[in-house]
Amino acid sequence: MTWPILGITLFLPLLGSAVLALIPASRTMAVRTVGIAFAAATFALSLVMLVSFYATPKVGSAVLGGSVHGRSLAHVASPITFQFQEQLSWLGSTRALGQFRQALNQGNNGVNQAFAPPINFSFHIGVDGLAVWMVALTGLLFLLAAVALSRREDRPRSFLILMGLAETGVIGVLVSLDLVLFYFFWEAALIPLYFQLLGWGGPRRGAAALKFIIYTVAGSLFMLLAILGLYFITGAETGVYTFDVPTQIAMATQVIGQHPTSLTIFGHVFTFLTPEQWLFLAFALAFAIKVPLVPFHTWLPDAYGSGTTPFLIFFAGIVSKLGAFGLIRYNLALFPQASHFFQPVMLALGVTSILYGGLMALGQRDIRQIVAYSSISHLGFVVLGIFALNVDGLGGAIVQMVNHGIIVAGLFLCVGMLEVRFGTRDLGRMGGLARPMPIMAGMFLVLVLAGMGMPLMNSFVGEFLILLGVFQVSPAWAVAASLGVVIACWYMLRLYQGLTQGAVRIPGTGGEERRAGGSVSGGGVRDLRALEIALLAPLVAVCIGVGIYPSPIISTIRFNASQYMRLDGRGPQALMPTLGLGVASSSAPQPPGGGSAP
Amino acid sequence: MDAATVRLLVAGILGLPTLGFLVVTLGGTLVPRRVVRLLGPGVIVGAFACVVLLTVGVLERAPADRSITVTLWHWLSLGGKHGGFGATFNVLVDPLSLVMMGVITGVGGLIHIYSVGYMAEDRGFNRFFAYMNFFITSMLVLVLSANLVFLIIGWAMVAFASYALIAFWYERPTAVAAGRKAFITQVIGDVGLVLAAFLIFLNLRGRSGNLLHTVDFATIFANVGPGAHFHNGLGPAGSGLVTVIGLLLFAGAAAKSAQWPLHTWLPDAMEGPTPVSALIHAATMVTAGVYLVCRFHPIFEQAPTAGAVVAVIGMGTALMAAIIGCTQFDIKRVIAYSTMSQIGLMIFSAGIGAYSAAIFQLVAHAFFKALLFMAAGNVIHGIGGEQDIRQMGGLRRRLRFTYPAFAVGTLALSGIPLFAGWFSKEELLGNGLVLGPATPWLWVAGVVVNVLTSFYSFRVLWVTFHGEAHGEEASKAHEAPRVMVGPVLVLAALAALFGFTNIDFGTFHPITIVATFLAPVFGPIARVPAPGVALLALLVGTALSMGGLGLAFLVYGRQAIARDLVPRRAPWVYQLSLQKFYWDEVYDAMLARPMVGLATACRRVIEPGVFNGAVDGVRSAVQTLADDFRTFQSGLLRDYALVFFVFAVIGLLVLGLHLT
Repeated sequence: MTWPILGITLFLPLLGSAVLALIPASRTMAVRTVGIAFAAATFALSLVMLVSFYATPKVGSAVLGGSVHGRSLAHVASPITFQFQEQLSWLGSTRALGQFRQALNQGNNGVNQAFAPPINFSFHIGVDGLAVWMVALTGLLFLLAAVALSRREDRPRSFLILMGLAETGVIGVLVSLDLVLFYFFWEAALIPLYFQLLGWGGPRRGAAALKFIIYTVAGSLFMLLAILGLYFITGAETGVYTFDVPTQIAMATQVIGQHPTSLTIFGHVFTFLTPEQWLFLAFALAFAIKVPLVPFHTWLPDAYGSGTTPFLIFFAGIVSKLGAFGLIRYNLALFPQASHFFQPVMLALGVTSILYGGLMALGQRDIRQIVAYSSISHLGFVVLGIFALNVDGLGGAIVQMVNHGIIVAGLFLCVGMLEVRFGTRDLGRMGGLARPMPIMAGMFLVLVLAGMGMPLMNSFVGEFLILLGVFQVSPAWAVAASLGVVIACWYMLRLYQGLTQGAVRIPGTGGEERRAGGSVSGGGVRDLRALEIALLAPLVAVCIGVGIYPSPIISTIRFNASQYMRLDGRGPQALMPTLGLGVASSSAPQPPGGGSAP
Repeated sequence: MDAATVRLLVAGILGLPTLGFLVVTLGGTLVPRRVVRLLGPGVIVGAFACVVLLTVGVLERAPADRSITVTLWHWLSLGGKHGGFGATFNVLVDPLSLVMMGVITGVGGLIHIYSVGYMAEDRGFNRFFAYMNFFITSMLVLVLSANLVFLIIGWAMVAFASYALIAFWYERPTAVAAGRKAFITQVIGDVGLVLAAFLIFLNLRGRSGNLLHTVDFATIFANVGPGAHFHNGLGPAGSGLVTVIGLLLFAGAAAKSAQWPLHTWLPDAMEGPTPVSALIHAATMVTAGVYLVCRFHPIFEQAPTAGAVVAVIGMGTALMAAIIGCTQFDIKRVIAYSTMSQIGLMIFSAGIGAYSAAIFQLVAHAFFKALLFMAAGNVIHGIGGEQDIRQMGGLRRRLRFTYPAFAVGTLALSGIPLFAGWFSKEELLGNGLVLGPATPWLWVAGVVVNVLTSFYSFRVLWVTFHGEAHGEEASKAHEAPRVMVGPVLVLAALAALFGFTNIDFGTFHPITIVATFLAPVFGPIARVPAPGVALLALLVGTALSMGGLGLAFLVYGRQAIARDLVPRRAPWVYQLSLQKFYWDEVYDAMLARPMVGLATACRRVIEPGVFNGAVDGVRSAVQTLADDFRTFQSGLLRDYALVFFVFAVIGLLVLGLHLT
């Protein structure tokens, strides 16, 4: 494909926002139409990419771009193949880089202080099997959110403009193949999300928005430090200062020092983690907050409790997956040995999230909070799968990321539809809704079953693979996590049965509850409208479809998943000899190479 | 029969119930009731016809060649090279799955027809048939699957269908709670199965010691058989690994078949409509555990300890349920406990390695227990929904078809000679004399179970149908419509005559048709009792069963023995039985409440105290610091001068230290 489909997908929502800004806010019909049209176009493009990727998952630029020491890298295999790549030099021209390399070659051992290294980052984007699914999920959820935006919602134009900005930010995070670009999108996505959280939703939204932004930015700062650290460490070792992600993955696995850092205080030598482990921790903190993992989760219940339904569809559906995405793309790929080192910690955090999130969901009366805590529990499974550090676990985690986006969006839609009708989120005040709202009850049931990991539903595929992956590492953690499956069944049934079964209870608008008898059909409550059915139907269909036939997802991600797994420094790929980048090793304080894992 | 025909028939068997489910679900209330009335039972009868054709086709083949695998679709594959997981939806047609399919679609079809009458007045008529058709599909997936993954999928689909049907009358809080209890128990069992699947997938080795990474039954069973060493199969017989796998498999079986300690959901499940009890909680779903143990017989044969545990738990559950059954008053609950008890016997039989006896009892039990439930349904239907046997009595004159049918069911259940239960139970128990742990004490326990069974069965028969009418409703009882009586009479005929398939009429040798058909799956039984011993055991067992009948007659028929003899003389025995051994209370106190307490503690204490507390602590620390620094910006010159002076001194000190 010659035209830059990925770049168009990335900036189309931004263009949509620009167009929306030109339409008068009073013309709400036009505003909504344009908003939905751009979201639909983005989704359509993401589907085109997905289908193309599915047809040929192994194709794609399998080589690194550019050249090092005048030698072209065109024959060097990229550790991870990306498709739809586009690269534009941005800051630091190739000429400057050439001069710098020339200087390096003239110097003896590759470190010449006279030349400051040029800041070499570029606009480099591309997708692998993981990202292509996440982009498609993003497209779907933003489209659903645009459609779900209520007619009564305040300031629809502003909301849609911010949504376009957020969508470009989220897609940017997923497709960036340059660390600076990635960091830029990572932070840029926060701004529209912050204003959406601040401007729309429940009464305590101000506090929730503040908590969310401070929490996330605090994590991001560590990540920024780590990005710079990575840049300088690998640059000093190899002489190639670059923010390019594939090149960094190829270099970082080989050259980051594996010796512990130490600190001398009053003659005592305290040894700490290796540089790789420090970098791992800094990245992991940012991602763990975003996921969120217990104990970094406290922004989530507040944010999920106060956002509007359209906001929650993409906020819970895709934004929380960015953390898991980051853990795979950056932590696993860049720091494989540290990933092994911290595997027990990450598994413990994952299981803690599963069990604690499940118990919290079990204890809530607020139906939104039940979904919110169930989300924490489910993302614990995703992290568990990632840090099983094998193909089964990672494959399951990726499937589960897609699944959870679908399920949580559906659950928040259902919960939102009930809130609009009854003006309450209290599980204790509603009941027996299957009688007046059978279609809602049926679709809700599918989503609930999917949420509890029922076989023949999508999340069974993910959870089965994740548990299988973890079981290979540690049966004890797998057994503990499977206790989470039992708890999930419990709280999901409590939610479903509390809302739809039992005697009909419908909270009245005037504060007085109407109690309808067994035979009364719950006077005046409307079942789902056609639009609401249309919103839920694709989600329900995906839940069942993926469960029955998960092969399309698996076969798209299989190739890249195995690439992520072979990067553990113990696998068959030894990149550095082919790269010929051993130049700096003579002056380096530590020998490069991954053989000396702790 | 060629492969294409087999494939077509399999597609029919799985597809027809699915079609019924989809039409009714997607059509909702738009589908007229008269369509559902034909479609609901029609698809099941159609599936039964496919099963019959398939059985005929399989019988044409040589006995050793009766196992056919059909591939439906590739589920997923993470690439076998790196040990990644992969599974395909394969269907296994063999004598065992054919017998199971015959029961599921045959008895299931009769129950569907019966339901047309039973549910006629219910406003959830369409929904009922959608769930019932879905249940049949699920059960067929369970027995047809040729690998562990789709077995687990079917296993859980069945659990969901059972939940939906137990909680069918979802406006009753008791039904909702019963559904939830059943579902959660099933999920616990599912976890056991999933873990067993992991262990097999990760540890099974081929003959040359290579890891096979498979969940396929054929490959698993071909490699775990006798002769396995440390380097192939799942290790040698009795190894820890294979024992753990056996026990995990049995956890799944125990949840599904309501065996101790996962048994408490079954009596509560009687909250569902009576056809559901007949279909799910008598004939099919609860026997899936027996199917599972029989299907995995090569693994249980390698794990004698696990097999012994299975046998002991089966017999223990049988005994416990029989004791409870003697004191219950709800007609459906008595039958439910008798189901638990009879399935305990099947599990016992499978545990000791007498698989075809277990399957034979499974089929016979499906006939007479579905019969009993449906006849009880006629009774309940006839007296306006009452289920307490103390409110019944004297119904034999009013229910002129149901009474003889119920009586046949009772005779079969009690093991009265020449009825189906007599053949199946005596064969099953006889094996207990020479096989399994603690011979012959488990046989003795089994005889006690039989005595109790005939006692409580005839208790129900007498209290319900004989004597005087006790309630107003009972005196006005009316017979059920023909659509409900017909299937009951068909089952009564089967319950009366099916046992004779256990005799080869040419020679009168006890060679069974069912066992011969199943022989290619299970192989020969390890040991049988000597003919003389078997005959003696048969006579003793039969005589004692008749004794149970006589005892019930003396207490409830003649009233020669006071009914309150046991409650008066041994109140603790009576209370133990009446309160179902207090298992509900134990689980509530040990599992449910601590869990809810933990959840509440998390919400009330840990979340606000620990997690939000830490965040708030940081926030207030920053706030305090900011407040302190704010005093610098007071706007007063003297404050600025002071701050300037202090920092200048600090700066100089630092500089001085740095220079020295």
